[in-house]
Amino acid sequence: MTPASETAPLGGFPAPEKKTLPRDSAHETVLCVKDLKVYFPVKKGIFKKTVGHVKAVDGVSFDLFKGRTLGLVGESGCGKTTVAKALVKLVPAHQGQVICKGRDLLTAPAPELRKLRKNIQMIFQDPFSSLDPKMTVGNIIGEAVKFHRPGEDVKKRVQDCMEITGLRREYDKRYPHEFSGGQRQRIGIARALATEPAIVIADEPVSALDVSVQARVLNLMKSLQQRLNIAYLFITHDLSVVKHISHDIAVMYLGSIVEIFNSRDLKSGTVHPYTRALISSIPLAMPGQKRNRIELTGEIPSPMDAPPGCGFQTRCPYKITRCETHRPLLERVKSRHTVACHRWKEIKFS
Amino acid sequence: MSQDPLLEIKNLETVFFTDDGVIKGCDGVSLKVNPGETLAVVGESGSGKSVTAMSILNLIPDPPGKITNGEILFQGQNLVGLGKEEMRKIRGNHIAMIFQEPMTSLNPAMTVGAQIAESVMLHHNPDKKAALEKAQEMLHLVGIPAPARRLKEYPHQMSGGMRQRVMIAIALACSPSLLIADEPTSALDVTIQSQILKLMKKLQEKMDMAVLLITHDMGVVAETADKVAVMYCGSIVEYGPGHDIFFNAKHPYLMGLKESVLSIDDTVDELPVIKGNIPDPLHLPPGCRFEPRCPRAMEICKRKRPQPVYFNSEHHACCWLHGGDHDTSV
Repeated sequence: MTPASETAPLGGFPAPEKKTLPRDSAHETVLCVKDLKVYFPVKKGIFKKTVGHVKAVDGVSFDLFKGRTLGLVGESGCGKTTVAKALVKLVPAHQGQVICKGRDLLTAPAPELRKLRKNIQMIFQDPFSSLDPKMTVGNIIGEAVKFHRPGEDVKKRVQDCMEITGLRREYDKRYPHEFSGGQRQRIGIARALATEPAIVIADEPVSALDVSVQARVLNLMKSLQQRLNIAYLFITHDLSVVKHISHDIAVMYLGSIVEIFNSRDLKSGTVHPYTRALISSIPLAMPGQKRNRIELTGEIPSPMDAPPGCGFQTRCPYKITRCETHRPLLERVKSRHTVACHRWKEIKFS
Repeated sequence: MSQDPLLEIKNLETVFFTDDGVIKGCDGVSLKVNPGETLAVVGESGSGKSVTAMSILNLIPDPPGKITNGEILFQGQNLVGLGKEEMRKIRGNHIAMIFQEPMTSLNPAMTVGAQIAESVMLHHNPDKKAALEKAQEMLHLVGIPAPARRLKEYPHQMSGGMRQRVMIAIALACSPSLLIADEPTSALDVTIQSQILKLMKKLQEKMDMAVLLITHDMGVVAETADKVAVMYCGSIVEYGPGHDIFFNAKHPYLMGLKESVLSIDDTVDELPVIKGNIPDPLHLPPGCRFEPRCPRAMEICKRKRPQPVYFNSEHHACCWLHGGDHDTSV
């Protein structure tokens, strides 16, 4: 259907846009998340009475921009994955808006939602369990193409996607078990790209891979972004990975975003005590050298009985009484940098 | 080195007999652990790190696995071919192990107190009450608050970090002289990881215990290891004190591995990568196993397996780049 010209060397993929966007100012918003809340009811007794809620995501707002990556970091249980799942409605959201192309995904009726969904695709964490072992790679990648792009040459589209992710075109008849971990993650990426999405949500796409393979998958994701102008929401617990791939970084703790900043500021520009502690606990790959470690005691509290006020107060070395009663809201630090902390102006990190 | 090593592995070969052929999980591994010291074994998945650890404790499932060659000398005693009963006296008592997954390696149907007390009762004192007291003491030692109450809890009532602390408590309850830790912090978050590493270090000093640490995280290695062994395809390709490994790496695989480690201090656009994949263990290259991926491969690398070349009394690497006797037939 689409004749392959010199500008689009890889099948149906559009050539990269030539116009240059003004840096750091007007990026086109492709997804806008406003005050997203996901609560899971806790049920007890034979009548399954709701006795409380696990506030997995408690008021999260952010924007995704065309061709840019937002990294979402945090420890296990902080609600990162739940955010991702809520965006594609794999879990029901309690409240909030997810606006894509002027429509709220959370309230859109089913037929419309189905059309909007081809714009948002997901890459999952575990390359071993997220591919159906009984389907060929061609069918795995082609499934969404058949649905969202009827009339298109599925086989060609699948093979184009495989080629762009560095898999051989002939491999589309093979089954997932015939591939290594890194290759399987490429299949997952190819599947996500098949419908030409504007947004790709990647939930820990490299955590299950070895470092050398991890580097290759990250390079691939980065070059695909430049080529296809995709917006990534990149979820990970690994700060060094997120630094490498993201333009902006959002740090989550106990269901809320505590700080959003430009990735250039990661090393020394952050102001939230939790972000600081997180960065300081990354081991340095140099013997004898150590970061100025902010040792956090204790663990993340249960989101079922989250403390009132600031979620981080139970582990924060800078806690004051105000933190126990008032929940801090996101405040502007500077352009593209917001933080939710009562004391960010006073605390001096050495 | 006047000191007698606590553990010495000589030319260990562990093979697996599969339907498709024989796979060498360990192919001539030799290493030493001195009392009180930490040896880190690093490598990618499938490089034979865990097989080496399992071989030491005789935990290789037989069939399909079997130790076909070599010696594992622990305090001078060869563990290879030791009887079941004798091995049981050593395992958990003199050599303890921490497994990777704190979620799956605890028994979900037993209280944590009972799981810690189990090994104490087996190896030291059959009195249950005393063993439970010891368990409580251990929980306190690994920094679990309210140990008396936690003793009666089940693993599912605890978080990942807590469970890993329980694993450490079980492993250390009999004061082993060697602790094998297989990826002890890989499943944990960074803030919890730094707590656990600090705890392990503290307890190691307190109990004068040697640690064999298996990991793929170069950051963890830099922070904890005295010596480092780098494994690739079942053999050690470079071995040496931590300082030499980090600042004076000799083997191209180690150099590549170190480069592909991400750091928040870097600002590279495209990450350097090691090309290719780990070879199929059934069809290993005839010469150096790293040769198909090596950026500096030479003619001889295709034909002959390199022997260790020593740079000082402890630092050695198996690579033709650094010379070695070309006529050595392997």
